Amino acid sequence: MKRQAAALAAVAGIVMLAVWFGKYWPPSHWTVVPRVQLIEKGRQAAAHFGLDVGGWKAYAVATVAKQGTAPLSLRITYVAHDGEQAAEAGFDSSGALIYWRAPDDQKGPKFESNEAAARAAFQYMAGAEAARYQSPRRSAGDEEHEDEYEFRRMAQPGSSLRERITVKTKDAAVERVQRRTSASLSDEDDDDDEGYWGFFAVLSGVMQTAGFVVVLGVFILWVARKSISRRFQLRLAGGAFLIMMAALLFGSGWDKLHSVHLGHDTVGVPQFFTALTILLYVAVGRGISAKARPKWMSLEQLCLLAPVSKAMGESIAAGMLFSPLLVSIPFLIAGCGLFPGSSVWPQKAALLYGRSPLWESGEMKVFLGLLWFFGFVVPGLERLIRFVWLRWLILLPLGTVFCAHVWRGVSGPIDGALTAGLVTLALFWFVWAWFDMLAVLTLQLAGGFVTGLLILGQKHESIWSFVLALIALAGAAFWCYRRGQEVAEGDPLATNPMLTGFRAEREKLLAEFSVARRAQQDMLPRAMPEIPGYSIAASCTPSLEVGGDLYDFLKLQDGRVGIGVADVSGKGVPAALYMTLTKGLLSSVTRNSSELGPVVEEVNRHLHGVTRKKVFVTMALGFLDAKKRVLECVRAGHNPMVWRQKDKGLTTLVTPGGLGLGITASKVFGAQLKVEELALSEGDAVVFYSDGITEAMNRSLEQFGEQRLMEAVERTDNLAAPAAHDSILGEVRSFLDGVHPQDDMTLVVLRVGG
Amino acid sequence: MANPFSIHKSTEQGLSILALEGYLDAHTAPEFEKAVESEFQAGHIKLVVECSRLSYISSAGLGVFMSFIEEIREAGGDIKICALAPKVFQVFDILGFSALFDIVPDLPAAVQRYQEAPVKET
Repeated sequence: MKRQAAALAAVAGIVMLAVWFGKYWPPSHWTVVPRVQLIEKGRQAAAHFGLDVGGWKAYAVATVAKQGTAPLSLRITYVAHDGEQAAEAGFDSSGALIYWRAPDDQKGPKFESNEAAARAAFQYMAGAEAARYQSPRRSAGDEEHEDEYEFRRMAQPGSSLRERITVKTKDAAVERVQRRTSASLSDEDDDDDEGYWGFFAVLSGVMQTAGFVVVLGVFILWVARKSISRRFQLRLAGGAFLIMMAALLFGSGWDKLHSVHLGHDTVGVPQFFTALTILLYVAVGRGISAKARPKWMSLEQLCLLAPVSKAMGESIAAGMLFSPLLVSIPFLIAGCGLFPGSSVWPQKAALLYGRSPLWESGEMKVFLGLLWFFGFVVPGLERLIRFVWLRWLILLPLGTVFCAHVWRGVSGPIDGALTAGLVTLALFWFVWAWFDMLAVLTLQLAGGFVTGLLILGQKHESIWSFVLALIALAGAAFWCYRRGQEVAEGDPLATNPMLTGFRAEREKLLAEFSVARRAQQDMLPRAMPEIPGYSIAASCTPSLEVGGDLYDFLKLQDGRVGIGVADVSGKGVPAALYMTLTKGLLSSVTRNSSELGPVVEEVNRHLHGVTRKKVFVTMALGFLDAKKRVLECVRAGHNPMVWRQKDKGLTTLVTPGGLGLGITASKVFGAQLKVEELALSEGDAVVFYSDGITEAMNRSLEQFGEQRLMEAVERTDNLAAPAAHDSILGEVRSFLDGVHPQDDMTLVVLRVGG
Repeated sequence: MANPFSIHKSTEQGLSILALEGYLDAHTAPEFEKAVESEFQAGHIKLVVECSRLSYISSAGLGVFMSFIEEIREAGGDIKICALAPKVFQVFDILGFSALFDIVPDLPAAVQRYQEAPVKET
C-alpha cells in the first residue's frame, strides 16, 4: 500500500513537472545567465574600469539573502594570483552589473582625473541610457583625492522609482561603482521593503535560534548528568565544541553564514553545520526520551553508524520517490490559475552561480527547520496539549507559515504562497506519518537534486553531478534494502541504538550474560538421579539468556527422592537471582526435614521474608518413595502435574490446592496447601513442567495448552523417560514452528519401570 | 510484537473500577501498577478490577495484585476481581489467588461483595 502510493507519487510528480516546468520556467523576474558568462562579463567591466583581471581566479557566490520582493544578487570575486588583491563584481537577477569594487590598494592612476574615471564608469554602467541621467552630483570623500559622483534619473516618467549610479573614485581610479533603484525620492537610502515576509522572517529566525538554544541547553545538561560511556562522552564533547561555534553563527543568522568566507569559498560550510546539527538532534532526542522513537530510528542508526537496516532503504527510497511531487508544488500553485500574480520563485538560483552546484542544492535552513518542526514542535505539542483538535489548530498555521517561508517555492501574493506552504506541509506530514524522519530529510535532499536537474538540465556542465547524486541515493536505498537487517521490535538495535554504536560494550555484556547462563545451567543437576525401577529425564530452556525456571532432585534424609520444578515470576536477571535463592532454600530446608508440607511452608516463609512484594515463586514438588511406589505431591501455585496411568488408560491433572510461594506468610498458606498421594504402578508417568510449555504460543496466537500436553504424554506410553521427554518437547517445538519461546520451558518426566 | 493493553477508569457507588483490556504481561504490567498506585495515593482504596476484556495475564501481571493488596487491606480497603474469562481465571486459580482475593462473576456482584465483606477475611 505504502509502496504503491510512493510509486504513484513519483509518477504524478514527474508528470506534473513535465507539464508545468516548460510553461512556468524561467519565472518572469529571473533570467538564467550561466556562471561562466557572468565571470566574463565582470572581466570586461573590470577592463573598462582600468583593471585587468584576466588571469585572476574567480569565485561566484549567490546571495539569496533578501528573499521575496528584493531581487537576487550575485557576486563574483576575482582574486589575484598572489592572493593579496581582490576585486568584486555584483549582478542583479537579470545578469546586469550593479556593483563593482576595485582592490583596496589599486596602484597608479588609470584616468586623467577623478571625474574622468567616474564618467567612464558611469558610461559603462548606463550605456545607451546615459543621456537620461542628470549630471552628477559630486561630493568630496573622506580622504584627499577621493570623490563620489552620483548620477540620477527617474526610472519612468511620472513614476516614483528612482535610479542612481554612484561612482567612488580615488587618485583618478575607479574604486567602487554601484547602481541602485529606490522607491522614493528622498535622499535617504531605503531599506528593502520585505513586506509581510519581514514578520515571518523574524518569527522564523527567533524560533530557529530559540530552538537551537533549547536543544543545546538540553544537550549540555544531558551530557553533564547522564552517566554515559566515556568514549561516547568524548565523541560528543568534540561535537559539542563545533556545535557551539555553529550556534554562534546561528545567532548572526543563516544568510550571513552563507557569505562567510573561508578561503573565499562557502562550499561545504553550511552543510557541515547541518550535519552536526542533525547529530545533535538525534543525540538530544535519544537523551530526553528513554523510549525508542520509531520515527527517528533509521536516522539514529545512520548517525551512530549502526548497521544498515531494511527500514533505512525504504525511507531513502520513499524520500526519493516523493521528491518530484515536492518540486512540482510551486508550479502547480502558480499554474493552476487560482492565484493570479503568483510565480515560481527561483529558490535554487545559487545552482547556476555557485562554485559547486551540487553543494548549493541543499537548502540547509530547510533541513534544520524540518528537524526542529518534527523533532520538537510536534512531540512538544503532543506532550503539552491533550486535545488533538487544539494541537492541529496550532500545528497547522505554524507548519504552513514555516513551509511557506523556508520552502519559498512561490512568490507573489500571500494567498498563493500560503497555499503552497500548506500543500508542502501536507506532503512532508504524509511522508513523516507513513515513513519516518530519514524519509523526510531524504525528501528534502532529493528535492534539491531534482531542482538541480531541472534548472541545470537547460544547459550546464554540472548536470551530471545531479544525475550521479540521484543514482547514488537510489543505490543507497537499494543497498540498504537488500543487504540491511530486518530490525524486529524488541531487538536491542530497535530499543537502544546507543548500544549498537558500541558493539564492543554490547558484546562484553553478552559475554557476561553467557557466563551467567552457564553458571545457572551448572546449578541444575548434572546427572539424573539413579532410582532403581524408574527412569527420569529433565531439561530447562531459558527464553532469555538467563531464566527464572528451575528443576532439582533432592536426596532426602528418609531415603526418598525429591523432584521439584519451580518458576519465578517475571523474567531475566531478577528472576534468575530468585531462582538461585529458591534452589538454595530447597536444599537447605530438606536437609532437616523430609515432610513435604512443612518443607514447602518453610521455603514459603523464607521467600516471603526476602522477596519484594511483586515477586513470587510457584513450585511443584514431589517426594517419591521408590519402593512403595508412592509419590507425594504438592502444588504451590504451580501448574498441575500430568499423571499418566498406563494400565488404566487414564491421564489426569494432579491439582492439590496451594498458593504460590512468597505471596503471603499468613496461615492462609498452610490452610490452602494440600498434599496429594499418587499410588504409582508399572508404566505410569508423572510429568512436571512450567507454564512455558503449556503457554507456548504459535504464530496464530494459539497456546499449546494442557490438552495437547496430556495427549503428547499419552503417546509416549512405551518410551522410557529420556525418549518420552524428547518426544514431548519435540511436539511443543513443532507446535511453535520456529517461533521463539516467550517464556522459559522446563520439563521433567518420571517413568515407572526400567 | 507489542500487545495492546489499556485501562479504563470509572467510579460506581464510591468504588473505583479499573477495567482492563488486552494483554497484561511484563511489558504492560507497569502501566497497571501505576494506575493502582495512583488510585491508592488518591485515597481510593476500594478497588474493583474488571477483567471481562482482559485476554491474557502473565506472572508479572499477577505480581501487581500482590504488591498492593497488603497495603490496601491495612488501610481498610480491598481489591475485588470480577468478570474473569475462563482462561484468565485459570491462571489466577492455579496460583491460588482464589484463596487470597474475592473473585466474583461480574461488576454488580463485586459491588454487592463490598457491602457484605469490605475486606476479604483470610
